[in-house]
Amino acid sequence: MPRTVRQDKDARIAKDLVAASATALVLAILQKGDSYGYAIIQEVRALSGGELEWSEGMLYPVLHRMEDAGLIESFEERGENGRKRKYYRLRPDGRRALTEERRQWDVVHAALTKAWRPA
Amino acid sequence: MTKFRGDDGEIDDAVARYREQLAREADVGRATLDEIEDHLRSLVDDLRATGMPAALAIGEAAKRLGDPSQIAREHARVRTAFGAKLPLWRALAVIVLVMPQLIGNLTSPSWIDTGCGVLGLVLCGALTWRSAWSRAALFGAMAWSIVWAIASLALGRQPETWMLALQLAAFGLLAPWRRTDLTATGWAIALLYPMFSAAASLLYIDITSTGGDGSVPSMWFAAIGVVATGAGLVLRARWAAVSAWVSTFVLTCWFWDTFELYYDFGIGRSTLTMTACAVAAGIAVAILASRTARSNLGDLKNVLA
Repeated sequence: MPRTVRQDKDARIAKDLVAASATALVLAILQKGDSYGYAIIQEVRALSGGELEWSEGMLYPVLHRMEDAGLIESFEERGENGRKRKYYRLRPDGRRALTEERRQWDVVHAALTKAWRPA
Repeated sequence: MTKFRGDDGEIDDAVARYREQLAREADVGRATLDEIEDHLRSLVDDLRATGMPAALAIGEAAKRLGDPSQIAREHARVRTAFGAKLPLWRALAVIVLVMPQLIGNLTSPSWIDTGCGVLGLVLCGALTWRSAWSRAALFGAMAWSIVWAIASLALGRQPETWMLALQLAAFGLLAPWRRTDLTATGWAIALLYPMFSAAASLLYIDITSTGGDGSVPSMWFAAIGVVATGAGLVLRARWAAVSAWVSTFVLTCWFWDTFELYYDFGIGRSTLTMTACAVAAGIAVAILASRTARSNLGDLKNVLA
C-alpha cells in the first residue's frame, strides 16, 4: 500500500507535511521581525489555529541547519524575564529563499485547488 | 524521606535532568543546551500561569518539547562533535589559500618541512570532505601562524608579508565566528598546532645545530605525540589525554633546557617563548581531551564527521 497522509486521533497535520513546511514557516515568521525559538512555536500554533503541532525541541535542529546554510543568523539578548536568550534574524539569502519557498508552495496550493474543484 | 525543596527547586531539578539526557545522547553544545533550557523554562512558566501545578507543568513541558534522545540525534546530524561543517566554497577557498605554503613545504630539502607538508595535504584532503576536525586543525594552524608572525615582529624579525596576507585570508574563512562553530573537542584540536609547531622547530634546531643529530629520542616523542593526540581527539578516545600529557611533559623538559640557555647566555628567546606557549596549549589540550573523550579506544566513525 502506498504511504498516504494519515490522520491520527487528534486529526493533526501529518508529520511529513509539518517537516516540509517548517523552513517556509520559520522564514515567513522571521520576515515579520526577529524572534526566538519559543515565540516561533507559539506563532506557528496561532497561525495554524493549533493544527500544526511541532515536537517543539525539533525546531532547534531546523533553526541551526538554516543558520549553517546562511539563511538566518543568531544573536543574544536579554529577554523580558532577564534570562539571556538566543534570537534569530533573516539574512539576505533567507529573504531570497523565502521568495522561492513561497513560489513553490503557491504552485502546490494552486494545483491542489484546481484538482479538488468539482468537474 | 523526601526533602521539601519548593516548586522552583523541583523545576531546576527537572531542567537539569533534561539537559543531562540531551548531553548524554549526543554532543549538544552548551549554547544549544541553554537555548533548549530557555524554551523549557518559558513553557513551564506559561503553563503555571494558567494555574497548572508545578509538577504537572514540568511533565507537560517535557512532553511537548519531545524525546531528548530524538532531539539529540537530530542535532548530531546538523552539528558534528567538533563543530559546524564549513560550506564547500569556503573549504575550497581555504585550500587554494594554503596551497603556496604547502608546495613550499613539500619541495623543501628539509624532511621535517616535507613531513609538515604531507600532514597539511592530509588536512586539506579531509577539508574537501568538509570534515569539521580538519577545519579546527587548520584554524589552529592559521591562528597560531598569525599570532607568531606578530610576536616575531615584537622580537625584531620581519615576517613574510604575502604569506601573512594569505594566512589572514584563510583565517577569516576558517575562524569560528559563531559560538557554536567549534565545540570543546574542536578547540582541543585547534590548540594542537602551537605544540606541533614548537616540537617541529625544536627537532629542526637539534638536527641542524652542531653536535645534534636528531638522535635524542625525547625529541621525537613530542612531535609524534602531538600527531597521535590529534588522531586520538578525532577518534574521541581517552588515550588522547595520555598522549597529550606525555607530549606536554617532554615540551616542559625542553622548556627548562632552553630556559637555562637563555639564563646563562641570553640566547633562544624566541624558542623559549614558543615552548612556553606550547606547554600552556598542551595542558589545555590534555584537560579538554580527558573531558570530551567518549570511549577508551575511540570510534572510527568520528573521522567522517
